Amino acid sequence: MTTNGIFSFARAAFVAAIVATQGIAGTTDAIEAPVLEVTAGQVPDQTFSLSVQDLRDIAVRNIVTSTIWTEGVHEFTGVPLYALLQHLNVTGSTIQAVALNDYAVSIPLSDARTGGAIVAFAIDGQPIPRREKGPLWIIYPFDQSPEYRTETVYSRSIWQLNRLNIIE
Amino acid sequence: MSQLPRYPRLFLFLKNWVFLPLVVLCLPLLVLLGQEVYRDLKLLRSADTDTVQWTLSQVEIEYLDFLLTLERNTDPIDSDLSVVRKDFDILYSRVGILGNGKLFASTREIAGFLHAITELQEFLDQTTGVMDGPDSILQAAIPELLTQTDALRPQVRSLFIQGLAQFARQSDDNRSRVFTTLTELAIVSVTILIGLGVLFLYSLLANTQTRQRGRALARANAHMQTILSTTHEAIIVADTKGNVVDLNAAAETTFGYSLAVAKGQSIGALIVPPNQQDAHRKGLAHMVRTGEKKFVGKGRVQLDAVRADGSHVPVEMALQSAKTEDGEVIIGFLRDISHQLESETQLRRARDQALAGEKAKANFLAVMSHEIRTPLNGLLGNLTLISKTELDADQTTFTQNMEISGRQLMHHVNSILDIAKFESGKTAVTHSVFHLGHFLQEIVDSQSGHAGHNQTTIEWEWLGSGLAWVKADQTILEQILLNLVGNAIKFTHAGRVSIEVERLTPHDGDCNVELRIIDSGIGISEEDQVRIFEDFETCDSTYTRDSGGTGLGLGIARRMVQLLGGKIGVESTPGEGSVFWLRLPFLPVAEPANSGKEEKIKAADRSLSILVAEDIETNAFVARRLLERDGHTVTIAKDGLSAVARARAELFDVILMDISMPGMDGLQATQEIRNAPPPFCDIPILAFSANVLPEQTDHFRASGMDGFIGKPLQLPELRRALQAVLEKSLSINAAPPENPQPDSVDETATMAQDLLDQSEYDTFLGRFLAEGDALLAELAQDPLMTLGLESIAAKCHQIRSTASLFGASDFATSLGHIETAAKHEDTVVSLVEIAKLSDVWAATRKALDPNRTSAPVAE
Repeated sequence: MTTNGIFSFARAAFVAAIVATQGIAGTTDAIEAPVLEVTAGQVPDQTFSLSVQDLRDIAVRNIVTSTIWTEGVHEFTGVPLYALLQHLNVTGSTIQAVALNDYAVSIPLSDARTGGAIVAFAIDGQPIPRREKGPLWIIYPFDQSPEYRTETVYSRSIWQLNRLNIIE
Repeated sequence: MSQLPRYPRLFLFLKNWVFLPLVVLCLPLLVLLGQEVYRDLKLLRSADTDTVQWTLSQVEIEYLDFLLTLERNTDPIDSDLSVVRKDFDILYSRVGILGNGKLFASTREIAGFLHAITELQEFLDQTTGVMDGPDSILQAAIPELLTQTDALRPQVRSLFIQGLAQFARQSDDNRSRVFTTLTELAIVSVTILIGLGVLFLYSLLANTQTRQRGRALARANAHMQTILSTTHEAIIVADTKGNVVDLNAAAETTFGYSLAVAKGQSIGALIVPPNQQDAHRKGLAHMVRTGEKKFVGKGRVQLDAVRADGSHVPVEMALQSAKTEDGEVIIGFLRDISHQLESETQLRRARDQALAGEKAKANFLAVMSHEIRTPLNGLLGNLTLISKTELDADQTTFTQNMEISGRQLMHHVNSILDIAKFESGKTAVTHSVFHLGHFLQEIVDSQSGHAGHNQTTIEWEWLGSGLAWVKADQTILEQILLNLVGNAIKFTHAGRVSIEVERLTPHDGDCNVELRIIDSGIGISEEDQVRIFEDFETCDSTYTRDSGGTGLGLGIARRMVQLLGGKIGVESTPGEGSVFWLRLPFLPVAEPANSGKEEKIKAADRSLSILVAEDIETNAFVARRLLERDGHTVTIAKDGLSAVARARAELFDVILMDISMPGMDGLQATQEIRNAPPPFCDIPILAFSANVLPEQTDHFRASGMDGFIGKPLQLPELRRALQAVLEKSLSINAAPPENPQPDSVDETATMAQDLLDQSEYDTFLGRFLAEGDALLAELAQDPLMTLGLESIAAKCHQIRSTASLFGASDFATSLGHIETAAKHEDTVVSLVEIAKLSDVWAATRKALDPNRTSAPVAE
């Protein structure tokens, strides 16, 4: 096990050195690549596919807060949820948010308001890698009010978000 | 009102010292606890334990997902490496939460948990290189990764179990902390609740008390209003400027102003009479200026006030001040006292009338008695004369009857006179020292003849130890005893009368001796016993007629006993006899120095030159004889002036100075002599007077006299005084000589007989008798009108000293009484004594009648 561990560690370091250039080249692709799929229930086939750049083009808002999942205070940058829905011109009562691991949670449309949740795509000015709960993460201004530090709000703060279903 | 009942006082204590501090202390506690509860609630609201459980379980699920994905993609042909990468990233993100998330900060302190997460993180970090590498390398590494991942199962498991246990513990702690906080909150709340409850109860109680007090106050107010409106006393309330603030109904009726009219007006203008308004204004101004209230609270003063109609009304006023909300007020209580003053005047008039009536009655009695006695004496005298003529048997009987009736009438009049004297309140008690045994023996002796007539024996005896010398009013006592003994003899035939004397132990008040007059006579019925001491009461008519009596005797006796401070009473059985008892105060005294057999005092050793100032020839003559017989040289001065002249011209050894002399009296003369140049002023002067009242000796001394010799002159006293002059040890003789024996003429002490030869004696006696007759004649003719009291006193005094010389002591005593009464301007007593005088004079005259007097005793 220990022998395996040391071996693996050495090999991993080696591999990492090799792929370093590839990683940097892939950054632009990551911005252009679609990361979020939005479906609206009232129009059956209507599906929007949005990249980080698309989201950044809609609106940008920063929230500086701590979270229960991270250590310390961070600056999250993202598109406000209401701006996103307004931009896509979809209506409904509930937003069903789904994560990569198919974790799904219902967010009432009322959370999509000014000063409310954002769909964050950057932390401390850097894109959020998938390994660090990215690329998209619904963030509430937790530190701003105890209202945002409830079990319900935490459950809605879905990370590794990749799909929003707007339900009638 | 201020006295609270016992339990609310305790309550007050509890309120002030227990409940209030409790509540005050509890309040901040409550705030603190409230904050704590709020914090806990907030914690509960934002609780993240569910997220924890979710994350923990999700770690295991995502670990298994990754493991499953690795297994599925072992075969390079149908492998999908992007899924492998995705599940790796998901697991990596999840483990990142456990390793760095704030949520698990406390859990990471558990060594096992930290160890597991570190191993897991190490594996993931090693694997990132492979994951981010090319597909071929990843594909090749999958079997190896699968093995390594599978080996991590126990760590993942323990991560889940330990994390869960920790969060369970934490949530237990949270719950118990919340529970404790809530319990504390409950305790504090209950305490406050109880405190508030108690305070509420107290406030209820206090409220009840306040309401009760309010009611009591209202009641008291109502009472006060009733009193103020119904009292007859006018009450006016004024401010300190003297303006009326309020007045009651009585004030309205008394002064005739209604409240509406009077309010705000000056009290001075309303009720103070015009002539006193100045004084009122000044007084008020003074009070306003100095704040000093002259009359306030100083009791009642009597004033004149004016009514609305201008009439005056006398009032009695009292002022009090009181503090009110509107400042100080003066409350005047005024009572209309016109009725009171009127009744006082009437009472005074009635009293004056009653007194005048009393006096008129006493005067009338005295005058009438006197007017009756004078003709009665005439009748009796003439009866005596008739009885000495030749009468037949019937005539003798008639005259005897007439004489008996006459004497009875005289006795009655005398009794009435005694009563009158008592009623006038002028009877004085004069104490003298005497031997009680001797005194009683004399009573018995004097009454034994009287008793013998009734074949009755009379005797006296001490029961137990007796008293010898006593101080008491001998004269009054004698009158009482003679009355009682006389009665006993009168009502006892062929029986026995005895006087028992006994000392009282213990004393009955001041009374220390009881005298019982016991007879074996007819006795007194029980109903009579109660009234015999009343005036004009006699036992039964038959008997009264038999024995004769006014019914005043016991009444007088009772008055006399009371006068002496004693008691009198009777016990009797009809048919067997009576006992009259007296309880009297007798002051036991030592035997007086000069009481026994008179010591023989020798004449002075040497011859003295003596000046005798004496206006009455007889007295001067006797004095000269007496002194010359002892070998002294005597010079006589007939009045004060000549006495002074002689005393300034010649150096005498001693001067005997009569007090009452015409022109300059003895006292003035003494002062003149004392003012003379030495050596004349230093001559001893002895007062020489019949005035033997003890208080007068002080007067003599004050006037400059050295000693006192009583009249009539008595040899032992004279010799003693002269001896004292020789020895220069003169002093005022405090004790005047004892009264001589109460015989009408003292045979043994007739100094005149002793000193004068027959012819001289006859001459002086004749002169004395003539003077006496003349006095009696003058006193018989309405003496108050013709002579006047002063003149009566002077005449009595003049004859009195001569009377003593001839041993007519009774007459002298009677004259002395008249003199004293006249000097005190006591008409009633004077008249009474004058009325008695003729009897005494008759007896004296009889005794001194020269026809009956034997040859003078040889010197």
